[in-house]
Amino acid sequence: MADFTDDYTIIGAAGDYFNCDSTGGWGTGGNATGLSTNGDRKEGSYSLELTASNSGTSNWYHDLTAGSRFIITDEDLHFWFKYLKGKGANFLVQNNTAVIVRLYFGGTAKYADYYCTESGDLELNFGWQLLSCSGKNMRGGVIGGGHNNGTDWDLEIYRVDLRLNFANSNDAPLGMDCWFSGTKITVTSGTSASPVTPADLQTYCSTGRTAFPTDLVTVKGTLVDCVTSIYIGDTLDGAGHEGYFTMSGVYFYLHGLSDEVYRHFYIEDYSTAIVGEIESGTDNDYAVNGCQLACTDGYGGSFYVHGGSFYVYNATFISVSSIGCTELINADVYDGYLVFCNTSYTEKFLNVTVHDSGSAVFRPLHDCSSIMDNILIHNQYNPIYIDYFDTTIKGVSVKDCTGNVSLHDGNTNYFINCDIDNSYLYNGG
Amino acid sequence: MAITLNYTNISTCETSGDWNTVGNASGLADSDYPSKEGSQCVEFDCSATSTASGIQSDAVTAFSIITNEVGIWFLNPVTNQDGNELLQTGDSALRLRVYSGSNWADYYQTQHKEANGHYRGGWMYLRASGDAGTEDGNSGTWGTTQANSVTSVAVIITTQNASTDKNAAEYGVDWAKYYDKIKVTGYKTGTTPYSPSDIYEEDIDKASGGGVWGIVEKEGTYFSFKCGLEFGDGTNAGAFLATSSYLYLDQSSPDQDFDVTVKNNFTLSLGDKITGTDGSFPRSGTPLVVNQSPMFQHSTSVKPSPDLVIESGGIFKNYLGTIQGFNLINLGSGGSSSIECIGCDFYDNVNVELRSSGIVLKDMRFHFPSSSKAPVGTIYSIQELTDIHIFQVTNSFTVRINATFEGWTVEDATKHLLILDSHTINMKNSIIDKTKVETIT
Repeated sequence: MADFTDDYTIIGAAGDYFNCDSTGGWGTGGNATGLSTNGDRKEGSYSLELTASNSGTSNWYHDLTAGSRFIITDEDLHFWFKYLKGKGANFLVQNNTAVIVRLYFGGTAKYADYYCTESGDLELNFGWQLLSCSGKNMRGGVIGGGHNNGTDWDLEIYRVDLRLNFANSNDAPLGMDCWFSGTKITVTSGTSASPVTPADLQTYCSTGRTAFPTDLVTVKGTLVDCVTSIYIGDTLDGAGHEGYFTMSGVYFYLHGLSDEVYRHFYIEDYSTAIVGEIESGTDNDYAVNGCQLACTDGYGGSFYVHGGSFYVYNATFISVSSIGCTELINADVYDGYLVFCNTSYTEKFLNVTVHDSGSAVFRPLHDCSSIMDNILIHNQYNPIYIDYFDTTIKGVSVKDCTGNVSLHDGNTNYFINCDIDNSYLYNGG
Repeated sequence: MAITLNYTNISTCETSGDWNTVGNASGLADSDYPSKEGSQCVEFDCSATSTASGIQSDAVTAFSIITNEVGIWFLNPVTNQDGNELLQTGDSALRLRVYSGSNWADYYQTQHKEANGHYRGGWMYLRASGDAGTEDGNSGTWGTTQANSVTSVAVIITTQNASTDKNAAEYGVDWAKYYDKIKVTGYKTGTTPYSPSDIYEEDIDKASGGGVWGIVEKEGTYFSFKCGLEFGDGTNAGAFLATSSYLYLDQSSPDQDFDVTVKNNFTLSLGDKITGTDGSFPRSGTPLVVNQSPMFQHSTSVKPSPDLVIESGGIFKNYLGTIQGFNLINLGSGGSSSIECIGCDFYDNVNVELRSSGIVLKDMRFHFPSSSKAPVGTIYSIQELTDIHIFQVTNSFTVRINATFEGWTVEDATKHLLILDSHTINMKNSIIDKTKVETIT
């Protein structure tokens, strides 16, 4: 199997038992009838059973030891929840108050409730499922307790409190296991002959991790759903560090859970990612079988090369905040934010359209005349920003952009076959 | 006007009297567990280590699963109250069985196995189509004749632990039906087009359209459809607009022909176009992609073959979208349609025909399957075709009218570009490289 690493770890210290291998230190409230271990588990030796003697809200909570706390706007929080179907009726209420995670910020006075189900009818599955909290996102839209003065979100999480709203008492053990947090998966293997693919990511997340499954990448049909960031390579040279990843003909979705925990698809030094394919004809090569590269609307995300090689052929970028590629051929960028052709690593930038992408900035460096052509930037706020270099750009059309083609004082810039219409040239000083 | 599913009920499961137990199933009863259709569903139990047990629907008027798909909701409680997993983990542990008289065939529902090999819990949608049932097991005679004459269906399971314990959970079944297409007619409101989200919302709205269909799935801007799509009723105006989305046609067998059809006076738009001060700009491309690896596939060389058909009078606009995996893309059907495709990839479609007087194609790329490189097709009448790139075509590309091609590049077409006798093609700024040009009568 391909090699991967990630930064997902059990929250708290070992003695906080967020791995649910012991009841030690877990408090209960409401009609909770206690806590016990159960051998049906996702991680370690046990999960913890959750039973209540009557309807209404019961809860189970544990504090995090100082020095082991995390910040919910820096990383996602996930846990495995087991729900069982009773004989006849459901155990939990049929609305979005069924499962709530209450996070305490900086102490036990201030908290926010994260509704872990969609609104309306209960959509929990039976058996084990992964539930999540992230950033300032509370799906139910209701904030509980004296909270949200706008500054507490960045405080460390002091206590985690799972609250279940029972429709009736249950004598069947619901369960929880493995509370973990993190941000990314790193691909550290693959070659041009045997690249890592989205299917490999799914396998790693479900059965390939030693500690516990995360199920954060799933593949269904042409949908690749990543509830995590993906890094290709870990910046170091050599086997076990370099990644080689390819995908074609898929909808690759960097699935954000909040506006605070950003999603990235990064290509690091010495590593390679290829989107789409090149077919070679007798005289020319043809870009084929591209992908939709999407981020969650309103949350943004990036597909960006840091130092390796990122080849993108026939792609559409949707709600992507920043884009940086080694080669970008036949691409459409819509509802994004920043589009770069500015790095020393850019070798080709052809047939690219950028629309309605807020303050998209196209930043060519030095002489780009041999690597770029047929670029259309339309209806952007700041279409082009030229740094303090002498620059040559070619084949760029700038139309209906309300911001500036921003030049730099004292430099000489050449425009070859460019069309700047209904937009501004500006000396940035 | 409306978004509707073209379906016929096999059983709404409003009474367990429509069903009968199979094998070691027991406890068949009405259930008030939150259902997917109507006010109730049906429940049953199975004893431990049961094979081929479940419930079968009463017989209905025979129907085809070649031209339709069968779908049914199944509730898997996953474990009993001792925490023991109910279903086995093998591929045969969950099946949709279809009967033609006393003959039957099983369709394994492995799409509901998680990556760890176990079946997921809760409500799940089972489906079957085509005559691939012989691959998964059958009894008696099974082939195209039987697949075209299905009389009842069953949910069949194999268990490793009993669900018959006191207070243990039951399995559930709801709304068995067969269907072939979703129909979209008219406008959402006023002249506002429908969107992919509107179709998804109609599916999941239990109070509308008969129940929760189970046909449409959504994640982000990705939408998948388990049936064909028909836009328009042939008379009334209407529109559907998909921008920056991805539309996936997930038919379950290569035997289905779940076409995408645009009827007279309806506008299907994939992507849109914005008019600036200096021209217009296509944007927000939306791919329309056919599943090339259906669930019930005899052989990887036999692909699904739906068509994309723009009927006479239909309006089709495609901006920066990829059209992929169709058998035939018929633009215009020999009538008068308004068709505009700008900046699109037509990738891995077997045949493309330009059959209308109102076609505008600009900045297009045509690429055909390597295993069956096929023609761009027969061009009957053209309005404007510019900057078209056709590569690796191995069969004929026939032109039957006087035409102007501007900015065409035809490369690596190992056979010929055919021109109908006594007709002329005016080539402007075009390249024909490594391609034969011949006339035909």
